[in-house]
Amino acid sequence: MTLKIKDAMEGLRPDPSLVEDTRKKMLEAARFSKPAEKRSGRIRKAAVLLSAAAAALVVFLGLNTVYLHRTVSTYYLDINPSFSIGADRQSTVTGVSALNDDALKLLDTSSLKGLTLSECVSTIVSAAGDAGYFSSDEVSVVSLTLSDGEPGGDALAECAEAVESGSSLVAVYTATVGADTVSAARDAGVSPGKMALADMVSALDGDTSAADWLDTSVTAIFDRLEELTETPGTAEEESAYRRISGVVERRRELQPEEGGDALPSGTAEPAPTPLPDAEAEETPSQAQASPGAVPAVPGTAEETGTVPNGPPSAPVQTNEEGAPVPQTGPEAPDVIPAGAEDMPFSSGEIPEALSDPSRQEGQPGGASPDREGMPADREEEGSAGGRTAK
Amino acid sequence: MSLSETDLKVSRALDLYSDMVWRICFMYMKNKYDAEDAYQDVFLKYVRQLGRFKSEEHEKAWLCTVAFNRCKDMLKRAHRKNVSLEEAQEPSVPFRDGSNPVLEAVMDLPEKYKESVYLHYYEGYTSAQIGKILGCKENTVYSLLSRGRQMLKERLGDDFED
Repeated sequence: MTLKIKDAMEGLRPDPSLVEDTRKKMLEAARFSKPAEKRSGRIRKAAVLLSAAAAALVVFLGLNTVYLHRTVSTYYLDINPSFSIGADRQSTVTGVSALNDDALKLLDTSSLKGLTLSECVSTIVSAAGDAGYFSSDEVSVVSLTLSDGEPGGDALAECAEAVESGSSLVAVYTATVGADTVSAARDAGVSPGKMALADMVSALDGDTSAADWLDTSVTAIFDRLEELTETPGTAEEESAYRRISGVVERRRELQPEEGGDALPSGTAEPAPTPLPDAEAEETPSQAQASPGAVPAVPGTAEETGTVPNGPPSAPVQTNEEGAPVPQTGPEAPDVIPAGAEDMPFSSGEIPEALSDPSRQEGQPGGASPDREGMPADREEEGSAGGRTAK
Repeated sequence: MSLSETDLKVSRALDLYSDMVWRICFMYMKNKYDAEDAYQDVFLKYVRQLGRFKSEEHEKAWLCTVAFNRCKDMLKRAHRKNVSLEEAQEPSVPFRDGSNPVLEAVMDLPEKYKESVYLHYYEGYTSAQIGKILGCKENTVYSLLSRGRQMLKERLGDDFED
């Protein structure tokens, strides 16, 4: 076969004129094209420059990555377990440390790295709830603070909102803490956030010192602070009240009145139910700020219902399945959901005994920094109004 | 490189590889004019690579590859223009008159078989070398050669392999 193919192709040759013409064109092309040696030198130089540029880019990206992911903010989360949470510029957690024994026992902090600040804090708060740190009889308080001067104020506020929207048993106190407090806290081996609260109590309560409060829960500290600032008479008391008023307000919103049971633990905020016209103007932000802003109806504690966004003056009602019953009020038409005919107050009547006399008409009373009547001037440390640190 | 050196290199290349490049181009294009265009294009590309070949084997393999690729490119363009090869062919194409049935049969093989058969049976490349030139595995080349041989046998009869 080889021979036959060779023989077959032997006769295939180019015309001599074609070869000559090609030779001339090749010489002409060689005259005008750049020599291979010089071109290869240029190519080599270009390759070196490209490599250098690539190396510089890699170094830059590496440094940039290090820069972007280094810890720039340290947050302190206090429940009674206390944690310090490091975060980078994107509010991504770079590390979490337990600051007391309760925190060490609560959860494995290594799994929190890489989460957003909100996810991290929510995870810790949820673990604390599961571990029984929150009472079902009252709205507990957790403290989330940031060192003064560090970036992350916005993240602090967002985190607080995220935690509160995930739990109706928790109010979040946010503030910044000064360098002196951080230093004192480190010396005492406690969280700066807890130290700041303890300082606040001891400043108002002449019978105790800050050290007496360092081992108590944030909720207990707030209970005492509320007592001390109930009727502020001095500048210090007024200042303290301004700082905690947001949290106080939220606790009142969620707290059961008249000895009624608090909402069962783990209740999540519901999706807003369709409201009559008068309430339909409530903005989503207001709705979030005033979740379930109604006292519980006696007897509903055992139900696993959720709290709807209803008119402030209406009681929470749930049907047998635990689904919220749309709230009705004097300005709204009666709405009787299917299956709710046998429920009390399904006709829309609101017993006076269960209405909230402290509620302002039409005002959901969310713990907003712009709460009516609150002085605009907040100069002191921790002057977050209990909600956001500015 | 001086002009005289370039002249020497060009002349040498044409002496050594002119026939090979022509055969490849003609086998693909099947007509003189397109084969001439492809032939010149290959050598003009060669000029730009003067002085960069590691060895004669490298140089020869490079020319084969460039010739195959140039022809395939031209055929693709011809197809896009909806010009059939039959229309493009001259009426009197050498060896289309039945005087060289083996050549005609090889020329009519599909591309990949044609390349393998030519490189192996005419240029004497091994399957491994053909695999490097064509960019395929050695086993693939064995299959191509086997199938190409089979197709030639079917066309030319059993006594073709004698």
